[in-house]
Amino acid sequence: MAGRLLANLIVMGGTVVGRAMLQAYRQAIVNANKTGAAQEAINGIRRASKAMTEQEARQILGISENSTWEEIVQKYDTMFERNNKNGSFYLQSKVHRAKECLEPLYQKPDVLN
Amino acid sequence: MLRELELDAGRPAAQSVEFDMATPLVAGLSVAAAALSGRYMIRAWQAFRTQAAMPRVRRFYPGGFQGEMNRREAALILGVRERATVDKIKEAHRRVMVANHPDAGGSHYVASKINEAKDMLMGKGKSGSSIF
Repeated sequence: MAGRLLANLIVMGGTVVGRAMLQAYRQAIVNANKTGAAQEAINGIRRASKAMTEQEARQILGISENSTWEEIVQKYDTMFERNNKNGSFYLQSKVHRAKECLEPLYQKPDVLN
Repeated sequence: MLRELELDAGRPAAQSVEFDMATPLVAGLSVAAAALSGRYMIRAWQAFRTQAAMPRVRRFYPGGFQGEMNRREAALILGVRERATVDKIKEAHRRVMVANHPDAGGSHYVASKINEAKDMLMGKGKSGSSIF
């Protein structure tokens, strides 16, 4: 009699816990979709293979295709320092990545020289 | 009697000589141990300082801006929480815009991103054309 009662309690408890976990999982998925974390994860996977494009890098630093490397470095230093003080770390990261993207293009002539 | 006196006089002298010989050795060992300990302490302090500096180097976010901005990226751009109040969003937007203003060394592209982020966080998205 006592054993049967205990078994019933265990089964009911397990059912309740399982149902709660399922609900929590569904809620987590909904939250991820709302805040964009899921989409960002997908974009992250896709964007990890594809780095920043040259065009976007130039747009971020506000330079044209005719700019010299000295101008790029000066622009980068200005934006990096200003974002370090009053801006945000995310924008600072983008400025840094933009310079990284443009560096190979401008360093080749120097290497040749 | 004379022999006994001679023996008694000899013993204290021998003991004092042995004591004098042992003291420098102990002192030397103590100094060496202190020196080694100090050296270890200095190295430990330097290692502590070096390690303490490492966590400050934050890793930059990879890649460029996302194709279509979402609330999370908007919050990152302005440096606020996704659920920040309107006042905090406005204050952050003004601060970040001043830092990246095109007339003061910034770029139009980044400025447009900052404005877009502010609109998204304040519920003025593309599809959000509600009255409130």
